[in-house]
Amino acid sequence: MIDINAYAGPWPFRALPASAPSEVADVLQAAGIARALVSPLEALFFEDPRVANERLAARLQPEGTLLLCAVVNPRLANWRPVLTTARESLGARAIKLHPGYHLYELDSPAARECLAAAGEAGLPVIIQLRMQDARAQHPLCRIPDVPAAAALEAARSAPGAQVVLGGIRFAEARGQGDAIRALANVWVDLSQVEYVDGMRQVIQAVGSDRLLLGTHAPLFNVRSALLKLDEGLLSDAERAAITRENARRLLRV
Amino acid sequence: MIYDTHVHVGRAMRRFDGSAGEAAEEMMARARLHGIERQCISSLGNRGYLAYPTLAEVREANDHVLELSTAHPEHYLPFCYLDPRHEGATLDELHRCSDRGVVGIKLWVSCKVSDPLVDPILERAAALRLPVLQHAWNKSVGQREHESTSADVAEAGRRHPGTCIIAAHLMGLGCRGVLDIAPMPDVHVDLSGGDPEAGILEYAVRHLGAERVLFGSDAPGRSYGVQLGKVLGADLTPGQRDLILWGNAERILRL
Repeated sequence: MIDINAYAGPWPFRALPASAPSEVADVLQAAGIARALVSPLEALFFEDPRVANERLAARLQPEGTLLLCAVVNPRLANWRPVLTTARESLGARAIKLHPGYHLYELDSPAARECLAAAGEAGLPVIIQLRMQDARAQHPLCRIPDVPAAAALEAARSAPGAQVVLGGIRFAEARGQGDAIRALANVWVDLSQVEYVDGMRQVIQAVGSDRLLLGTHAPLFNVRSALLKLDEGLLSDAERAAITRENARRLLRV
Repeated sequence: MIYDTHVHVGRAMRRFDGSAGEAAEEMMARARLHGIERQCISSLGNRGYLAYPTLAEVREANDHVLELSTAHPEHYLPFCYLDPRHEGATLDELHRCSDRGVVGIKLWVSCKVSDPLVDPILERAAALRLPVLQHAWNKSVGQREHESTSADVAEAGRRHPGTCIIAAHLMGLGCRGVLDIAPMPDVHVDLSGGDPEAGILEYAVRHLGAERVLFGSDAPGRSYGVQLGKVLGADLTPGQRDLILWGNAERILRL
């Protein structure tokens, strides 16, 4: 299995059972996940995420379970060299945008240019809509969710970019199903999709060819991501697509 | 056998495919996929989740729950929904439902559990040996005016030792919630609702003991599997896991 959306590093609001890259890798491997796209949690809070990318990259094992997903902040003047360095020096397989934490709009010129540049570089872009339930955020650190519609509009504006909607919720994915289907360059991370019949309904709305297993580890329990799949009563073909084949094509692994 | 102690039904709920009709059969089938063989059900109304229901709406909701538990006695365990604002009539409704076999009481957001209006319910619950499942959440945004926090639950527990109160939504209560209720031994917590955040359950077990933690999903708004993963993926001993998944429920519900 391939996990499209994992993290490593400390989370400032509570102790995580696993946070070091080796610990996260162990947790994922124990759950049967062979490869995982991992980005640094520190990058949400560091003034320059480049430092967080470099620190994480230095701790990843060559050919190991974890593949770097570098965080880029288009609002900073250095976003172009950060993108280039991530791909050419750090071995990143994708980049992640956190518009909520880094305070920019997805329709800003820099964000649109960043998406286009990532597309030209062959790096998929995860647009992370949220990290946690807004109700559970620290009262002095309220980070607004990124509207799924804004991420879709950004994807529409950059058809050369491959965009993953990270942290999208069930109602958003189902409600935007037609829009997602209409854009050939959009995929859905399942890490925060939840409803009693959520898997089946999201498959119907979006299609299993657009869905990607995501765990949100180590913030979320990996077992929950896997039991969610079981509840969807997936066919073998659907399971293979969601847990492996779609990500393999997207990440070229 | 796994007990899910926090599930909702309602006549307004549709089948999973969106067609009209009762989703109760589908919910049983989906729960059984994960080994959940008993579900404690309550209805918050037949026109959706009603925060401030009329007395008639409460009765209709409870009638529906009792219908389902009568039709599926091997699976569904009925909790009755009460609104403390109905004062004396609330106790009448409690007795009507108790006579028909409810095994617990559900309180939601019409009145903080620390409000004196709730005291008669908590007293009667102890006399009837019924647990009280109280919604509670410590929200940084969106806290409702009469929605209980962990501090409200702790105050109710302090005033009513001997009443089994289950504070719903561990992930919504967080570490602060665990610490608030820890001194009250008859206050428990369920895991229902909220995201499957890693580490919170272990924190609760450390500070409350596994004997005070129950598995619940909050289905259908939540997934049985995702919520169960909170337990099956946690760093627990087999004994702790068994208590959370079934042992505590059987003890509290006297099954």
